[in-house]
Amino acid sequence: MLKKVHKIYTKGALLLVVAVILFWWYVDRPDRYDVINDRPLGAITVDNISDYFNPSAEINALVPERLVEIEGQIKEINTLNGRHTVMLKGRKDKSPYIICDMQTGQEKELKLLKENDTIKIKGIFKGFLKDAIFLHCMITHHNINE
Amino acid sequence: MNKFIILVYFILVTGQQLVAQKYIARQGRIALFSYTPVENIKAENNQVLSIIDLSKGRIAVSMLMHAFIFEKALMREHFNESYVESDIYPKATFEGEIIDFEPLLAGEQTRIIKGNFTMHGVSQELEIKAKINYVDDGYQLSGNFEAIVDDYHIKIPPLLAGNIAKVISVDFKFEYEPYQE
Repeated sequence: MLKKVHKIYTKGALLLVVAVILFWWYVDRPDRYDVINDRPLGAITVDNISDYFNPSAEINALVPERLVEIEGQIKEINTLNGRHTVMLKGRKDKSPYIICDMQTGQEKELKLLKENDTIKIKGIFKGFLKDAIFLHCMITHHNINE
Repeated sequence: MNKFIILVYFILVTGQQLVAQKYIARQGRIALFSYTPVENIKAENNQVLSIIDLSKGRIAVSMLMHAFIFEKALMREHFNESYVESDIYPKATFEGEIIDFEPLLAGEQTRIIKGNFTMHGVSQELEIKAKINYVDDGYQLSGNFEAIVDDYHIKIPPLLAGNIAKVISVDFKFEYEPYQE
C-alpha cells in the first residue's frame, strides 16, 4: 500500500515538474518568428503595393502578422537605430516603398547587396503607414534577374 | 544682365527653400519602458513615421502598434491582444505644434511640442520637451515623456497589475530628411 502511495506521489511530482517547465517555456519564449521554416501565405511586388487601396488578389495577402514574400529593387540599405533595414522600391522610385527590418544573423548576405539589385525577401507584414512595414525579414533570393 | 542673373539665383534659392518645407522620418524610434519590482518590460518600434512642416511649425507622428518588438513573445501577445488591442486600434498618432521652432537655427534647440497623442482610441493633450538639431540638411528630434496607462483606458487584469507600471516612460528619436512627394 505504501509503495502504491509512493508511486502516486512520484508520478504527481514528475507531472508537476513537467508542467512547471512547460509553463516557464511558454512564458519565457523569445519574441521571434520562425521565418526561415514557415511558408509565406502570399507573395507581392513593390508595384502591387501602390494598388493597396484597390484590392487585388496579391494585396489581399497583406493581413497584419502574416508571413509574406516581397519582390522589389533595393532603394537603400541602412543601419539606423542599430538595426539592418532594407528599403525596396518598384519600377517608379516613389512612395509607397517597402521597409524591411531584417532578422539578425544575415550580415554576410546584406554585405553582398547593393542599390538597384532585385531581391526577394520574406517577412511579417505589420501594416501600412506611408510605406508598407515588414519585420523579421529574411532574404530568399538575390539578383533574380541575372 | 547682372540683374537677370541675380533674379534667377534668387528664384532658384527661394524655390529650393520652398521645396524643403516638409521633412520626413520613415524610421523613427519609439521605446516604451515599464519598471516594476516584479519585472522590467521594454519594447521598441523602429519604423515610426513622422513629418514636420516647417512653414507651419507642425509635426505629425504615426506608428503601428503591431510593430513593437518585445524581449518575450508573451509580452507582445498581451500588449497587442489585451492592452492596446492592436487589431481594433492599429495606430497611435500624435499631431501638434513645435512652439517657437527656429528651422534655420544652427545647432541644438530645446523646444516644447504641444499636441494631441491618440492611442487605444483615446486622445490626450500633451506638452513634450524635445531637443532639435539641424544636421546635414536634416533634423534630429529626440526626447521623452510619460504616459499614464489609465488615461488611455488600458485595462490591466488584476493578476498582472504588479507586472505593469502605472506610468510608462516613452523615449523617441527621429532623423528627418527633406520630403520629396
